Amino acid sequence: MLVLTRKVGECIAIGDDIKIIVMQIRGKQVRLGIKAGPETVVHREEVYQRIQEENRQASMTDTQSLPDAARAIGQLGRDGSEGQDGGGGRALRRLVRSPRGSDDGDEGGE
Amino acid sequence: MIKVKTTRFGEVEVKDKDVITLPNGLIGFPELKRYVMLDHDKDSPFKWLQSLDDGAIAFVLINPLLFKPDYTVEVTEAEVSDLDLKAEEDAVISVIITMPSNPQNMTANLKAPLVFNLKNRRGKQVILNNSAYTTRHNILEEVKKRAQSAETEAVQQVIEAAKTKADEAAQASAATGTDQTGSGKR
Repeated sequence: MLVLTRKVGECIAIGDDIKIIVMQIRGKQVRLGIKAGPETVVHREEVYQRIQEENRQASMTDTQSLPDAARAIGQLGRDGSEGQDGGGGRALRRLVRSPRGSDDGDEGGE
Repeated sequence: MIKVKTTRFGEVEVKDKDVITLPNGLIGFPELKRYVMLDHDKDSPFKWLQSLDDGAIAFVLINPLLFKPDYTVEVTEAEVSDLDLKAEEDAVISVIITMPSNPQNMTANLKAPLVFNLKNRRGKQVILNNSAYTTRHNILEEVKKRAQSAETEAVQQVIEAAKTKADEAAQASAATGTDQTGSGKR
């Protein structure tokens, strides 16, 4: 692992397209700004970990549990617009987000 | 034609045109890119996303709109550019279900839904920034909540209808008889 020491205002470049800037240091907290192309996925590590763990647990579902679960859910209204692939299209909203600026705190806690 | 030995469904044969491709796999499973969608049961809302690269790996999916009609997936164009989505109607949203031993506690991962392009059968898992959505959204609680609010609405409608009838009756008698409250104000 590469370890660097930076002061407020200084920057780290990763590849050609990613920059990490130390914006502010207050007590135990460091505020980091991340400049990257829109195709680069950036998330707090614990969010990523949580999803990884959830996927891992979900992958262990066996077929036995499904009939009971289906009964428990009962008749969830299935209108004709449901696609063959068990999904719904109307939920998708595509945005052109402004370049990552003040997205701090977006993800929130759980 | 692809033949895969799966732990849950035995040997599965899949036509090439039915293969679903996740170019980045799933979070935590980046190597597994080819899948097939299997039905659980005709009457069940569940589907199985079975890996064709690892027969032991499969996920239960559900359409989130079935239990949360206001669920919205906001993504940037860039995030889904590799799906080559031409129109919103081509997109299908599914969420992965975690099934604990008690099915009453089954949860859906609303924080990281799967987006599929119906046209080219490509998909990916995206992470939503909306902090209102969690990785463990209790499905049955949501269903109950909506049933309750639907009931409350129905009861309220009955009350409203009764009120309107009473008003009309009062107005009718006021018009024909002794009314001191000509203005009709209540």
